[in-house]
Amino acid sequence: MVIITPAIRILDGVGGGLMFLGEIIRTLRKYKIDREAILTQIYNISMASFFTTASSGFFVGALMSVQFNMQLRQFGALSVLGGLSTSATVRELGPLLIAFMLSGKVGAYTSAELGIMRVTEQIDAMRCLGTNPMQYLVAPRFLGIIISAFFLLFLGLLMSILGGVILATLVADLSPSEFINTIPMYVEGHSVLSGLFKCLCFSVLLATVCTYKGYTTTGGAKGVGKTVLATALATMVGLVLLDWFTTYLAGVLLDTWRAITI
Amino acid sequence: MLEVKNLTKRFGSQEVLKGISLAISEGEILFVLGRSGTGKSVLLKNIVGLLKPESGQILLEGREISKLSEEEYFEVRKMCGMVFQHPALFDSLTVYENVAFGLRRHFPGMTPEEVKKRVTECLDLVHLEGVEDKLPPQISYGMQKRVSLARTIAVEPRYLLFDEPTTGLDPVTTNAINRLISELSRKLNTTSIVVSHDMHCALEIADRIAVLDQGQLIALGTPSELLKSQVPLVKDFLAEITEEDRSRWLS
Amino acid sequence: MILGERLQSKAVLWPFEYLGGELIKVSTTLSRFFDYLSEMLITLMTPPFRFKEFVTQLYLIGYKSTPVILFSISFAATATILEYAFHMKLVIQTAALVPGFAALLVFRELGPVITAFLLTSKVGAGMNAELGTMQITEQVDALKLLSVDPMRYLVVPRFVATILSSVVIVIFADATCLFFEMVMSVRHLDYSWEGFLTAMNQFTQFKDFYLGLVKAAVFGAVIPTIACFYGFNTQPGAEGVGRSTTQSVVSNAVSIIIMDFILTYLFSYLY
Repeated sequence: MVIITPAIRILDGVGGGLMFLGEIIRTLRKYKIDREAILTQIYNISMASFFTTASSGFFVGALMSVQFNMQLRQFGALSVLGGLSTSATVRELGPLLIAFMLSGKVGAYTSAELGIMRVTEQIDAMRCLGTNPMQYLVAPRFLGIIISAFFLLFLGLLMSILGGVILATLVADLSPSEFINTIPMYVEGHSVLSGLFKCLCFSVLLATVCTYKGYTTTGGAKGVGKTVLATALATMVGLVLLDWFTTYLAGVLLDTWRAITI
Repeated sequence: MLEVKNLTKRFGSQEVLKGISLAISEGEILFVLGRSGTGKSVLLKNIVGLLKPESGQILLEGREISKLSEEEYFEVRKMCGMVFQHPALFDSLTVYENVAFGLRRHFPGMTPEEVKKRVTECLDLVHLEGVEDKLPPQISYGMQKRVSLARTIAVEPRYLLFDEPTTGLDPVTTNAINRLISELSRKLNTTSIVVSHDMHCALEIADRIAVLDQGQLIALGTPSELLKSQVPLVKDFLAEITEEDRSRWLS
Repeated sequence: MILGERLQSKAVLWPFEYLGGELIKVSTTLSRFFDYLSEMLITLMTPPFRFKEFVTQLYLIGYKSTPVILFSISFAATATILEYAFHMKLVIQTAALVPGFAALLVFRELGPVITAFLLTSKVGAGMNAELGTMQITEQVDALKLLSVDPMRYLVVPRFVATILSSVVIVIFADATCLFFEMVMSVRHLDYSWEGFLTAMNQFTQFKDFYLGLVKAAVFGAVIPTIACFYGFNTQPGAEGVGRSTTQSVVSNAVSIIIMDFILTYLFSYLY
């Protein structure tokens, strides 16, 4: 019983989330979504996460320069530092980092916002006034989070290259041009594609979890607090699992691609 | 004419409504009283389709509406306005935008001038002036409730459902809202269902009063009939009514 | 439409007003944070100690969050080794050095940092919401009236308990990661079990392990400090709790990344 009850609860949550995602996709196909509402969401989300993403991107780039420097020095392979750390950012760290930052800032905020609208009956009122809340509230937020994620990924990537360059100059005695020149050698098309694919998966997960949890809040002000906590935990664990899954999937796809091209 | 026939609603294993039957005729004010958690709000939410009943029928002017889809409910909600327990104003929109919200959805053909005229009219009706450009958190709770009322009546629904319209308000605003409910019915021939705890108001303005207990209808009648009722819970509700008032209403 | 107008005016005023406003907000928050930090450290150093509270928190933080963290981190470990093998093949054309480097990465970065991130959302957010709810329902004021110091009663036990839990969880997390990396190496990179351990042994030193634990302790100190700070500064209303949780999760995540960078930089002289 100790394991079964939580397991059922988790399955229930996952199933509910997937059904909600289906509902969102149906809404997106069936109704026209107000473009201004999406733009407002993109603006809010990007502005809210701008500084956190930029600063964390910078420090991650710097961190990798320091860490890789220690390891590569042993092999005298310092010259590949730029390509290697950028490749790691594009393929893995960047998407994950953006997802973590967004889940903290936007995920928690969106679920709290929708949760408050739910418990104060604003969502019911909206339905009574002849508006579909899925179309008016959920869909713009969903699209906003996904589109902003790509914008922020680009920003985080630039900042991590900047951080990497600065630290590489400081600790590894590499000139910025040496650092940047190796990037195209190691960052190939499929790396970029797999990074973008991951970013898409993560942002869809994040957008689904926070809108789902927020939209289905019950139980007053306390319920909103619970929702935010559940969102934070579910996105964190979900991201790690999805990261494993997409890495695996990307590996399989890459192998197939290679097999086809050769 | 709004008819509810043998309505049941369940949340999980808990049966909230156990076969309610009610009929409300044109222009009538029906008060639904009962203790907290007896399913009064659930009854209203079933009528406007926010919740779906397990069994039973809801007939709006002879048409069965409880099985409609979300899109088909659009028309029903244009006819049935609901005022929520919380003001439920949209936080990110101004008072003006809040009131205009339903108008723009239900009457897409309206010109901005017509919308403005209608919004001003409705805000006048609830005695609010000069708050159009404020955001909901900037005005008092009583004002928010009145804006919420204005938002609902803006689309001129023929049926109005009130979920505890006066809970948590000061006596002056309470009286104003009660007067407004009775004015609307008399002037526009609107049918109203009011969910409330307040026996005093109910006796004052209701045409008929229904009392719910544990999901069942235990009393239904005009105020004077109810005053003579022998049902224990109804007598509890009537306990705070003084002899003086009692004789005034009976006469 | 109203949203459009607001969007426009914000965009026009962007550079100066926005930056200035942010700067003022950040500096006032920082000054309050340092007041709070100094008060907390003083309370931490002076008796009486709330031992019972500390044990309760240790149970809630350490015991309750270990399973979910170990579960998540096992997946993170597998993903990392796949990525690592990919990059190693790029650079030195062989997967021979993967176990050694992966083990180094686990001890130095992966174990402490991923654990800290998971602790932030599992423990930090919960702590923040709990204190925030106490703050807005005036329970914190009630404690003061009963002449109980909220700092001593609420914050210090959580602070100490999180540091200890974080260190212990990281030890378990390191072991879990290594185990899963071993499994992945054997299955995908044609290593034998012994071969993995031998390769790992050549690359790692005991120093790597305990410096990782130092990191874990630092992160364990950062998380409750920031979470409780935002918890105490929660504004009334349901929105307040949501907002303060958001702020605390984000501040925690950014602080962890920055602290990680600083520590890695410092430790790079010790390795």
